[in-house]
Amino acid sequence: MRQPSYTIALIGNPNVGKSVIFNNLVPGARQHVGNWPGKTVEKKEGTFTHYNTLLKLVDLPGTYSLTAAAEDEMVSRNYIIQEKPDLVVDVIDASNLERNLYLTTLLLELDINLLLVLNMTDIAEEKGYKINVKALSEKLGVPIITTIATKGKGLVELKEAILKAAQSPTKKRNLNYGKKIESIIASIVELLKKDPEIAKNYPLRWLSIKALEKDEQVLDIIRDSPIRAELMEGYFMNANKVLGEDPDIALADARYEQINKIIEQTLVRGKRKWTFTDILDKVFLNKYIGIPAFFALLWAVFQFTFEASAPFMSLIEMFFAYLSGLAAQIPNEIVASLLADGIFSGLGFILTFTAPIFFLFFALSILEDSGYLARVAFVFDKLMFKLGLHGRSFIPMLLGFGCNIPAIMAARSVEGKKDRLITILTVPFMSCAARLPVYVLIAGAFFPANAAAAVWAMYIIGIFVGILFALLLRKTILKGEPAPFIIELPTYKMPTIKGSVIHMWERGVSFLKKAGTYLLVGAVIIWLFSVLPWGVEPGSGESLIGLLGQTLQPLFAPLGFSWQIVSSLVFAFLAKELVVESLGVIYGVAGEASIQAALIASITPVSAFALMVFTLLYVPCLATVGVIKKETGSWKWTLFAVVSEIAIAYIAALLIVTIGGLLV
Amino acid sequence: MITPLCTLTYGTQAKIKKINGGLKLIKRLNEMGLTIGTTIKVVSDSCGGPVLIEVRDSRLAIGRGVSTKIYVEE
Ligand SMILES: Nc1nc2c(ncn2[C@@H]2O[C@H](COP(=O)(O)OP(=O)(O)OP(=O)(O)O)[C@@H](O)[C@H]2O)c(=O)[nH]1
Ligand SMILES: [Mg+2]
Repeated sequence: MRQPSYTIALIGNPNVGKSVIFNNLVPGARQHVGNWPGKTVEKKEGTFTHYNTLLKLVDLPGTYSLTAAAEDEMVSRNYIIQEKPDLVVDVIDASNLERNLYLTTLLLELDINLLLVLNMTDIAEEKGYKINVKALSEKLGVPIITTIATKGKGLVELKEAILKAAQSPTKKRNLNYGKKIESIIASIVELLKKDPEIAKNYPLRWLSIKALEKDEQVLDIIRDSPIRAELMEGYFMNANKVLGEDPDIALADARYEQINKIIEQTLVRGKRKWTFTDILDKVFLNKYIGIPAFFALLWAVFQFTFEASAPFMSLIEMFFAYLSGLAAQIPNEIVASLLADGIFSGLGFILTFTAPIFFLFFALSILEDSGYLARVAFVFDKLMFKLGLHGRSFIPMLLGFGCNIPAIMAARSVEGKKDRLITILTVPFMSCAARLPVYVLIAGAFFPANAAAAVWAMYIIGIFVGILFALLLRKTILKGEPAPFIIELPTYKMPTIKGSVIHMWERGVSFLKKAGTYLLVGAVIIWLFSVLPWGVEPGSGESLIGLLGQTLQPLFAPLGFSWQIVSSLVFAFLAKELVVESLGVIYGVAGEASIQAALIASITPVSAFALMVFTLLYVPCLATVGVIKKETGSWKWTLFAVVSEIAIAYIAALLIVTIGGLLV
Repeated sequence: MITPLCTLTYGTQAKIKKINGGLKLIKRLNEMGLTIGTTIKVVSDSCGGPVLIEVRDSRLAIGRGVSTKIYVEE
């Protein structure tokens, strides 16, 4: 393998288009893109070639500064400061120049090789902004490229500029922070020069500024220096006195002052227009209709998922019934049974649910790409704050509707250790796409007239239980105040059919991959359990699966679950899709209708509803348990999550059966 | 008159006068564009909940806990 000649890092505020740029430059890259801040939570590396030079590109999580507040921002800071890439590409939202340039000033202080990208110039133009790019570049002393990343505009120029800047680093230029601050910085620089060890290794202006800001890592650097005492007592005290306020604040003010000066000369803002975003926010963020609007949208999502997928489901089902029929004619009895009863009835059955899963992903990606997702955090913050929780947690929670694994990782963008932990423990109650087949099957059998509504209810119960559980944690073992909630709301963007289809396709394909691997192996194992010891009636009480189910069934007797259901719940510890898969194998019949008939014959509607809720709430899958371990770094919390999920699922199901028993 | 940000209603413009909080919070607000003297505009208030403001060309949602600590003058 050829070693890359240069390393280039993409940094910038959250949601400015870094990952879109990364995906465009690196062939085959598929970084998650969506319209809310905090998608990329860990660094991602890739390579591309330009004129035969191999370059390594690193996509970093978005950040507002280089003094990290959340886990994901820490990654970016550390990368820039410790790994020292050859070139740092600072991506800027051209429609939000002023605040975005703040990070740029911090990067300029660092004295690194810098290139600016003004992205989203289309939105800036819509807003009526006219930016004098040449003047801006001169004033900042940094080359600038303008792009519209989503349309691929300016990316060839960007590659060109990246290579050029990597080969011949630009000279640094310092912004002038005004007499008072500059003289303090100068005097500290003089003092630092007295320590040859430090003077040799660090850019002194940057070190002085960071020392003034009491940056912990920088204070560590100075800790053992002979000049430490003098600096701490003499110089810092003096700085406070001269500035009349904390140097941190004075510096932030000075930076914005510089930015404003530069912007005055380079940016003409048109008249503020009444935008699309203003209108939509008036509705979606309204204090009375915000929350009802959210539930209505969610309802629309499931209605759409159901209606759109129904015809596709019957088609896929017919296809597998046909295959299963063919396989049954194979002369070798074992092969015939494996194919007909194991693969086609089990795996084939779960594959019929590919249709609703794809449509759900499609609907969810529209919510993500439009910019609505971040709004939900706003809408629920009032309620969450009253409960002592964090509105930001809602973003990972909603992501959990697709798949819990990335959602748990997304909790890294939640500030505050306890808030993050609470979010991680709450996400598994959010109903992921893998649970959808169970609902579709059961709701279709028992509540055919209100199937979409029953599924919708599952998602709401999930949110409700999640919030209650979070509240319980907050009041008992994770006591404390929620970290401050501040989130930037992106402008709404019209989701494109193409974009949403690509999103749907990528996630749908990962479901199909899972089907081709885990679920296939699962089908074979379940089939083995159902036919061994060889000779018994497949899937009957005498088979292994029957023995397993019957042994555990008494535990679930209060819930009214048959042993068939109990066995399928056991297998579903690995992945929730296996509930449906094992029912397909156990009942040994192909097709939704016949399995539904078998279910109706074995449990009551109340127990069926309890089964849906139980499936919703107990451990999502083995992979989620793995991610909880990885993200919390603790077996204790992982075990706690698993045990509490099972307990809560059981209690909730029992409540439903008890209350339902009284009503029916 | 100086009041906490959370009391402002839809459409008001105001200047930030004071932030009552630890240095950590102040720094966080600074880097997101909220410094003393900045003009902000309330785009959505939700009475008891978070406030949505426009500041330096961006839209920030400020939670209840924080909005009671930011003091502004209309
Ligand atoms: N109109 C327009 N939209 C863009 C442009 N570039 C990116 N976007 C959209 O902006 C949103 C954010 O893009 P991402 O690439 O995910 O942003 P990011 O900077 O990686 O965000 P984080 O990982 O959260 O920090 C997505 O919805 C993109 O489709 C652009 O030039 N014009
Ligand atoms: Mg990203």
